[in-house]
Amino acid sequence: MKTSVFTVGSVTYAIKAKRLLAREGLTSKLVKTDASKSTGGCAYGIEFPTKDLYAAASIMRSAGIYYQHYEK
Amino acid sequence: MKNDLIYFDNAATTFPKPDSVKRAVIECLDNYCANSGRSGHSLSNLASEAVYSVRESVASFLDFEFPERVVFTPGATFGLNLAMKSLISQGSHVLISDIEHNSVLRVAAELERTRGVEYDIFNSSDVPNDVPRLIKKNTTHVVSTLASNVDGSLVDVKELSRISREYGVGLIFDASQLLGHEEFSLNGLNFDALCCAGHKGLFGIQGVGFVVFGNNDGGDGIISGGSGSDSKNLEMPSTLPEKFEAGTLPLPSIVSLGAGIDHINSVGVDNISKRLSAYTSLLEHGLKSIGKVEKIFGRMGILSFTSRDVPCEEVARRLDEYGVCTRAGFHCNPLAHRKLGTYDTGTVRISLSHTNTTDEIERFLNILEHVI
Repeated sequence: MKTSVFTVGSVTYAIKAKRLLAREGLTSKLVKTDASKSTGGCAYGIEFPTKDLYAAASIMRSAGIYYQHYEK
Repeated sequence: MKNDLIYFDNAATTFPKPDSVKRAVIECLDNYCANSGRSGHSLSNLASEAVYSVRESVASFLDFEFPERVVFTPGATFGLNLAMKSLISQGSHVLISDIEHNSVLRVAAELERTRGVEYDIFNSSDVPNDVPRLIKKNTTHVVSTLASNVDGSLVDVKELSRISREYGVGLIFDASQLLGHEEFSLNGLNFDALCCAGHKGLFGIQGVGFVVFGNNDGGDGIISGGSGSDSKNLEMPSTLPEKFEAGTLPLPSIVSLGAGIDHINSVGVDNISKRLSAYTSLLEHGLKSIGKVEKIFGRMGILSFTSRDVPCEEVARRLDEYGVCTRAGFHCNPLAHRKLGTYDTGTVRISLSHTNTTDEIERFLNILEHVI
């Protein structure tokens, strides 16, 4: 299964995002994201099935959470 | 806790803690006490989730929508230092209430010395008139406790909020002696920061407090260091809460705070208020009936008194010999004692929790009558 990652920076916003997705029935996992994908060094994000990409992106936008997306 | 001990020093820290709090701490220590927000392995992520859950508990307890704006601190004093030093700029003017603990008064005095911040003291019994009277062109903040640690007296927070909107000044609150005792909501209040201890009325263990940031994210923090993210940057992250949380968080203490809030929710703040109010009446009535008790001040479980013949420290020492824990002196609050007229003597403070009993109050009154 293809998965996508939204990098959000802090672990707090990653958990917030995970819980917002869960409220809408979307499963995701808290992950420390690949350092090569962020300029600032260590970062956190959520990993989820790519099939949920549009729904997940919509939830993040509604909550005003800025993210960077990459495919795993 | 010894069976015959009477613990009446709950405004310093609540004791004993509920069994559910102790169980939560042990469960954390046994099962998931990794470093939150750091390593990214399963156990560390479990710890991070636990921390976030307590942010949610704090936010929900205060009717506040944004758990990510709850910053954990080592205690209320650290929180007040953080809020005041982060929000109050060079050359500003601030107002503090006339019942502020040294955790505010000394910070204001330090800001005066180091940043040229002027401060004036307002009459907390006359907020509607005195606060507007003292506001100047360069007034940026009003810093106020919500309840006095000496006699439980309240400050009119809704009026402060209204004035802050009208005059465009920020509010910084110290909620340490109110939360867990009385209903309180941030909903509709205009505020920059609310600071609180976790180990008093909220029944956590020592080592944790929090600041809820409202209208303002604050400037620089007061410590820098590892934050678990944005590691290549020489500055702390720019977003709450990590911008103010350098270093490892005290997970067991944070977990205890969450369990303490759950405990309060299960008992009900309203039930706690009713019990504290009834206990205060009982105590006040009993103290008045002891001829040698002179001044009595108090409400909602926090009550101070003086003895006609015996210095307050000696009263507390004698009570301690009978297994009664109270606190004598100035309670780190010279301003409140000046207001009460006890600046030269201090008081003996009795501070209750809903876990105290009427039997303890009656035993205390009998002992007090004997020792003074």
